[in-house]
Amino acid sequence: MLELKNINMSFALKGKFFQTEKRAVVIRDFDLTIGDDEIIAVVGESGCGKTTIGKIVTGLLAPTSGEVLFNGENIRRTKRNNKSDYRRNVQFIQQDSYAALNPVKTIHQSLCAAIEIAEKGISKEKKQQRLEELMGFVGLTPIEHFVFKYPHQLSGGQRQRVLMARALALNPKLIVADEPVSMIDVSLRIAILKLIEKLNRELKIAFIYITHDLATAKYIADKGRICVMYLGDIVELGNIDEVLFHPKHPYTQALVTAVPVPDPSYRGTRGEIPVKGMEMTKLTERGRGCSFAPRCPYATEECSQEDIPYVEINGVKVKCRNIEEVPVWT
Amino acid sequence: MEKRYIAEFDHVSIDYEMVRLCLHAVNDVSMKLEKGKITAVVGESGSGKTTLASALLNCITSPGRVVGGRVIVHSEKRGEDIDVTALNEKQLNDFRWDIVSMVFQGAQSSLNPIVTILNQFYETYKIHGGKESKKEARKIFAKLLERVNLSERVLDSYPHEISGGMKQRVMIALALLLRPEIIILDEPTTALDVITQSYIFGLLKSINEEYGTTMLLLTHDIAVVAEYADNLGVMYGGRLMEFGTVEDVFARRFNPYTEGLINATPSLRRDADTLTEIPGTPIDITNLPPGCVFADRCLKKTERCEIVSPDDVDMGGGHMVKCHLYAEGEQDA
Repeated sequence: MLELKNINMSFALKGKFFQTEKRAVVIRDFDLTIGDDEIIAVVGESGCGKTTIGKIVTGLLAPTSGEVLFNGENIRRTKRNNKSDYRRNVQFIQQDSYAALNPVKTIHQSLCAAIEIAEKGISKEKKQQRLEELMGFVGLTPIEHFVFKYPHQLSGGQRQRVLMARALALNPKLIVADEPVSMIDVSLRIAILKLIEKLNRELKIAFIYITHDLATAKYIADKGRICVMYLGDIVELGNIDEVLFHPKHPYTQALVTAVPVPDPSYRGTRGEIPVKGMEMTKLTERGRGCSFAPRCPYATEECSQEDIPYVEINGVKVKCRNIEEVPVWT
Repeated sequence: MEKRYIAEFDHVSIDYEMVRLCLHAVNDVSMKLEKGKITAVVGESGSGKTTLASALLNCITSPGRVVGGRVIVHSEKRGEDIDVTALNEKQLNDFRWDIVSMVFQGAQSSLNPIVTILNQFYETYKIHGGKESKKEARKIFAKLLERVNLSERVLDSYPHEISGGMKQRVMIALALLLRPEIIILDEPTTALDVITQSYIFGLLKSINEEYGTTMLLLTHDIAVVAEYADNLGVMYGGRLMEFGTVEDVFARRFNPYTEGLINATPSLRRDADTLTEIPGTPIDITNLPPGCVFADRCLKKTERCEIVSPDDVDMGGGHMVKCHLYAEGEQDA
């Protein structure tokens, strides 16, 4: 349904007078296809470009080069009609649910605005019906408790549900959810994740779930795919169980090692994290080669100089030129 | 072996009194910190864990006030028992950082942006009676930084010149400066990446083992607790719901809230189907119910839970739980 082709994104940095402009490359050669009712998790640490990808997919940012194709049409070149079609079909849910809602408008006003956009000149009765349907779907019932409240009167979990309802109002085919649960209390997180799953299953909406938390990614994309990013590169892409249980790229291996397990009986079983140095390379300082090379214990000199091709192992795409040297995960 | 305790919260209650309402942030909490161990307090936002820990430094922000109970520190450094709640301003200034220090939440913003790291260290050192000149003191600081794997060069930097993980390590080094007996760590790794988080906790654990510093870790992340802490207290709505050793609390999880929290935490080693959320919404602490604070969301509640607030029940081996399910003979009363 949606295709990202060879996306590159760089931002200009402020330079001094007469100095050649420096650019920070945030996304490099990003290729990804999203199927019709697929959930795909995009994980990575802060600064890896995962939010930028979300913004490019939703059309909030134009990539420096490369194409975003929606149903085969480039979203930046297409006719006006197709464009508004795309805008409706791809929705974005932000991390901070408080900032995403207008604080002086009630939930009723916020949701009705979206419903009116979805169907111009909708009758009052139909609007009310649609509102009830939407709020029922995201679990904000009985709706009288919520419709006339303001965002600050709701809890974080409830506000996140309002955002979901607002996105659903436009009958989208794809929702990009950027860290939707990171600001929600632990006891309520699972409920939101279950809601995403339900929307995917019952309404056949595809999701791009952006997160830094591998554990929730595993939960949400249970049968789907995961895309691990590091400094703007996809380092590993494939079936989630294969990636998390048999990580192949040195960075994924480090990441999986670092995640603590909420069970004391696993204590001390994780071993040392296989990385050299704790600091991420600066975006402006890296070369053409592998971004992870400066921290990779298996890297050779060529790793940071050459373009790195993808290799495919067990259906997983891995961006590593030295994969034979990397020990097999046990 | 008998356990030795370095600090005690004795029926501590803390209120934030405001014009129209009163927040009971901490309600009758009794807890002991075992010497040389890492004690964790987990709780969601608004559970009162930070407020409780602030009482150990007597630095609760106004209008908050300790309205009941005492906080005692059995200091070996001073060779006496200190009642923190009874100290005057001058005594508090000597006490803070010397006996108990704290790494605050968002340590990234705890450093003064226009003063070099060296001068921030030196100021703390001087105020607490450090005698060496700046040149000599620099060597002491460099040694501390080395302990957290930072080079001496960092001393000459301003905070904006170093990364978030480095700032966090600078704060830990600063907290160690006067060799305190207790360090409070308030969400020390939020806003840091998993790899950095794992690294920082590894450091803290080795400092704990090497110096024998007691640590009080406040967090919402139960996975971190399972991995690094020795003892665990679970807070909800300003009350301590359960307390015991980490292994014990995870294995027996008497309180329905503890059970719910563990069941709601996703993990890589766990089947996704076994996860369940806790129903309902978090409690509003301006409007506490007469009974158990968790009754509203509890799956095992009885009529009694909504009327009477439960007392601490001793389950043996230092394991305490606050729940009617385990109180004996209460049904008759």
